[in-house]
Amino acid sequence: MNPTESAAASPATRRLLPVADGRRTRAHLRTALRPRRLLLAATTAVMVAESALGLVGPIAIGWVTQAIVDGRGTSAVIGPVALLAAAAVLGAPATWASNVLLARVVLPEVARLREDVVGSALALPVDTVEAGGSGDLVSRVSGDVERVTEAAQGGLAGFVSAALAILATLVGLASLDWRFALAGLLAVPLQAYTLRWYLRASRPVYAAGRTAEGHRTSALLGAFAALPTVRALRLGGRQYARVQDASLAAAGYEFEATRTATRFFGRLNVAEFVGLGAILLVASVLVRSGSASVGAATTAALFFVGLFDPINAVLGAFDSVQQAAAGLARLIGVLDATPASAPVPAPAGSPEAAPRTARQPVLALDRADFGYGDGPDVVHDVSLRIAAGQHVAVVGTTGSGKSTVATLLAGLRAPRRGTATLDGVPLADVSPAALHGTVALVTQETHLFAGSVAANIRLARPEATDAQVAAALDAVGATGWVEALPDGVDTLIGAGGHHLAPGRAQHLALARLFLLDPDVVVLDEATAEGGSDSARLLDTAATTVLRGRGALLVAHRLSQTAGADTILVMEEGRVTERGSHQSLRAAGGTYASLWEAWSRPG
Amino acid sequence: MTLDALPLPPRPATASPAAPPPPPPEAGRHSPRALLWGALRAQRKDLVAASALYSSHQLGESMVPVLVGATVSEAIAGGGRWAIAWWLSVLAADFVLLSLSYRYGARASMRAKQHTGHVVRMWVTERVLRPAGGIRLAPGDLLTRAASDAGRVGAFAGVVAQTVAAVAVLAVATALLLGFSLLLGAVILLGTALLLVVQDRVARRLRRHSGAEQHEAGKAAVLAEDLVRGMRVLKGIRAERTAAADYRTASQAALGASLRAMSSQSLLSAVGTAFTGVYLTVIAGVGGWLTLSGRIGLGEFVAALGLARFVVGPMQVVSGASAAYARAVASAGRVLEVTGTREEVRDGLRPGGFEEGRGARVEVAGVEVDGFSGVSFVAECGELTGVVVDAPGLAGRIPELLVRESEPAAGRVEVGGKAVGEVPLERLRARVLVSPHDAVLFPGTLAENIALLAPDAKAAEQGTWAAFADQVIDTVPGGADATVGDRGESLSGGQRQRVALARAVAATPPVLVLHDPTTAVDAATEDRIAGRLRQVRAQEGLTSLLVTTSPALLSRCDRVFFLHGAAAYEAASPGAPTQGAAANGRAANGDPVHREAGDADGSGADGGTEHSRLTLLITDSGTHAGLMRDNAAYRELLTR
Ligand SMILES: Nc1ncnc2c1ncn2[C@@H]1O[C@H](COP(=O)(O)OP(=O)(O)OP(=O)(O)O)[C@@H](O)[C@H]1O
Ligand SMILES: [Mg+2]
Repeated sequence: MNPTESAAASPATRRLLPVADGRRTRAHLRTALRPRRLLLAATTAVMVAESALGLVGPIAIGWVTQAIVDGRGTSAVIGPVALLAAAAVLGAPATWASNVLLARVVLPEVARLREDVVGSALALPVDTVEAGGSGDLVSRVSGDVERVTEAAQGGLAGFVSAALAILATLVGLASLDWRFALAGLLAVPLQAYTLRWYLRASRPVYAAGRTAEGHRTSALLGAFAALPTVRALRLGGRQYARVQDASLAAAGYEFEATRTATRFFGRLNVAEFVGLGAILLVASVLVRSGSASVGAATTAALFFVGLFDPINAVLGAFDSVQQAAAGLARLIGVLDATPASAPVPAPAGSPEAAPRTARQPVLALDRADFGYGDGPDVVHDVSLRIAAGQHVAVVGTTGSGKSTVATLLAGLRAPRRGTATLDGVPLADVSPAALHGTVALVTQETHLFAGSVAANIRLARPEATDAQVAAALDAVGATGWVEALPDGVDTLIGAGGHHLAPGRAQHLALARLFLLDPDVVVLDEATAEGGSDSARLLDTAATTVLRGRGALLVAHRLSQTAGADTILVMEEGRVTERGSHQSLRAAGGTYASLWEAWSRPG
Repeated sequence: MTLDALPLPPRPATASPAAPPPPPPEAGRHSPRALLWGALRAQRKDLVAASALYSSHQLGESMVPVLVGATVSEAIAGGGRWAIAWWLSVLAADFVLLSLSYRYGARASMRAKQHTGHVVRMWVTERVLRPAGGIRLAPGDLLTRAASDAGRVGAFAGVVAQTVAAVAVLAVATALLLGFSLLLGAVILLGTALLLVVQDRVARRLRRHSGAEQHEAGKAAVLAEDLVRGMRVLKGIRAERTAAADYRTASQAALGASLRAMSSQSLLSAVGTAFTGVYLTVIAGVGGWLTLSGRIGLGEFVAALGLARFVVGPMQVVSGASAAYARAVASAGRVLEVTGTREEVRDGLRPGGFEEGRGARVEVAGVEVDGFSGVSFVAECGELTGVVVDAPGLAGRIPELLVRESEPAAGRVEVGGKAVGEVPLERLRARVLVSPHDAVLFPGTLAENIALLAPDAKAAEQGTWAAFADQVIDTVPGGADATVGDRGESLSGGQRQRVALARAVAATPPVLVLHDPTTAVDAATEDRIAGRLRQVRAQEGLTSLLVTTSPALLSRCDRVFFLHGAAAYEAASPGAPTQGAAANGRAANGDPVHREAGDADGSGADGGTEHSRLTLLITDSGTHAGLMRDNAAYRELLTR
């Protein structure tokens, strides 16, 4: 299979998150490893010692051989055996230490990297992450991280043994007859050439392989995360086929990579034979002419054979580096995508819980235009202003741009033209931390996070006590049904947990908002899912949450918005009417007809 | 060596999107070990090839020092002029053998690894997608099992090939050494045996730790997936930092588990190093002494030491296999937790199914589910039937009952005169289409999504029209060819809902069940949809059931059933109501309590969800207008 062919099979419409180039990857690694310099040096030192102990074997054996050739007594074996025994005794702790140290260098660094990637991804605009699909990001923080961990451990160990093997080769060469060394060196240009060829050939295969695995993750998540729909519409066969294709495509790259790697090692075998053959030839000539001893010839040949493994390890380390680099580039690409103004969040034990005075900030949009991606504007020239405790409602037909306006006002998207401001300061310039607790948006989409009911509420304020969580549930009138759940507030909900109807998810979202206690709330269809179950409950809950705060309300259920101070009517991205419920009804425009459709008894 | 040459698992017919995937073979359904070996058995050809080729590679490698020794003693220390040429060609032949063996062995091994992983991944996928249901794990959790765990089971295939080769090499090396000296051969045997015993002890600790490592890493991946999917919600309340901190906690827990596993692993390696070092020492000492005291020759000594050094690698492989096995079994166990999940419903066995005909009558009588009893209603062919439920959590259950996503505790559910439990699930769901309330769209264009299940272009057009999705196509930049994103997120809420509705109507199912299909659209659009939906469905003589509280939709229904709570009563066992039910006489036999519109006065009982406590539902029926006029509870529920 040709890698480019199966890449074409992947969804072409995706705009995946960026992948860093080699230079960026290296630069990032340098900075990231700087604080671990000492540990890295210690690890390297131990590894050098470990590898050096491994070299004791051939030396001791050469020594015994020489003793035998020289026809010495049996006591001559004592020295070399003692050396070997010492190497064995020291080797065990060295191995242990080098493994442990290596893990302590690599694992925490990779863990930090994945945490930074998740932190950065969460700081990215929603649209950027959604464009790539959640599978893209998830595969980066799971599959790629696994690969990087494995390859980094293998690669680093390989590199150290590589450095040492090269060193030993130099030392060994010096201790040998220079003519043997010269013969052995015949292998080097071949190896160098092979390595160069391999690095070029394998890089694109690994990079494409990582992407293919990302597609596989997307295919799996596409089937698993949409399970109710997939089952209801009997799309199991279709999703199965997608997963199968993606899985085989990813496997195809692994085969391709193996084919390349085995060719690489095949060529290295040729180099080995050339070196070894040359040494033996030279030895036969030199021994015959009496200018070298049999012992020296044996040592030289065995020395060279003993070098096969370390040399292959060195060169194989390049393979690991190549693999790690392919994964790293995808991780670092996410870090680089984060805009400078949205720094990677620090581990916040408790976010600045500055005592909030009863502030009443003014939130405003002024002549805002907005369009998604590079598409046309979907919101044109929208101005609105939410002053102290005011309630502004936005109504209009579906697709008219209400949710878009809601996100502009909440600062989640920035207008293309015009401004979105908080007390006159552009929202883009206000730090996320400052916006936390100032403006909050309850989105039209609901999502319950896997975890307990309490944990879902606490997302708003992680430092909230159990009593505060209970109070929030109570305030919005959710205590009754939450307590009826199998484990009350500790019931696990969300994916894999107890199923809650969408109306209940919205109810919890309102409880969350109550706990967050922001100055201004933006409710985008926050009570739309009431349906049969809980319309009344949700309406009451919304009233509670809105009390004493500025608010933007988006709702199709017009009874929710009728009481607002100002109602804006949107059509095709523009505000076409503006006024109070009474005045708009009287005006007999779009609002009047919407109200008519809404309040008709059916 | 190409992908096309590989034995692929049976692939489901993809011509029809409805084709179900094949079930996994019987092998490996019972225990993690059985699953592991069952998966490997499917790849036995590649495994045998890889094992044989790895063995010959290893043997070739082990011959190198032997041949070098022989060359030194036969051609360098003595021998004729051409001896060196002869020995070099033997060496060259050995290199060809070892190099080609490695090349094709590694490829066969990779095939075995990837294919085992792939097969296991497809087992997981098939089980998750199987119509009989029962899967409750989170998507991220299923993902780690189908990706990492399947991969780890596959990786064990490589370990098997390597281990077989290592054992072969050890056997040959031992035999060779025995030829040089009984003592040296015995040292190898003893050394290997001891190493295995000691390492197995240490491996036990590793087994525990690596199980924990996989568990923690899986949890972190699940969290990441969940956070990304809920990103809009997170951003709305600016909980990104909290979420990132949560992930950090999970990641650090995973890191701790990894470090613990690595420290066990290091211990294992250290034991290996110590053992092999001691073993080399003994061989060198004994061999040197034997040679120096003249019992074996120089060539033999060199060869013996070369061999001894060489078998260190295979010894490590063999001793490492038990740890790898433990890891693979742990992963196979996690896979089995999915593939062995009990099915939610038993597939109906009676072949045949339904008579031909456009619609199908739906009848639900005296059903008990989720602590409610007496769920009853009828939907006739060619009619739009509304079901209004005033009982918490019950509305979402009703569509599920009709397609047997879940089973009622008691009562009758019939479609086209057949009990749903008797019909094969595939046939039932081909007959009855439920469009879930939170139906997601699939990656692709608007047109692709709408036409996904449509039998022909005309049906797709009709669906588009009925759901008022033509307006979506007109509004969205790019029109019908606009892409909708991963799950439909590049559409507005109402647009997404209409496309999902269009997709369901376009499928033209004999029975269409819709649950709150218009919660995200404005009243004017909703009204238009209701009218068009009625026109399309009724005109074709199809059955349509709407579980909703929308007056716009209900007013277009031919008949509306209003299910509301009457009284809670204690049931001795589920499905067998006692005492309180006596008041409602007929309900005790599982028959519906059914009244015509007019005399209802429901006492809105709270949903007692305890198993022994049932809420008896009263069903009132009539037209929307009639119920609004005559039924106070209905009026109160639906008045806005
Ligand atoms: N993430 C997105 N990417 C691209 N286009 C989008 C995205 N979200 C919305 N749109 C488009 O922008 C327009 C306005 O959408 P918006 O969600 O603001 O509408 P709305 O008024 O909230 O509608 P509804 O009442 O259906 O929720 C629509 O045409 C929609 O297709
Ligand atoms: Mg919207």
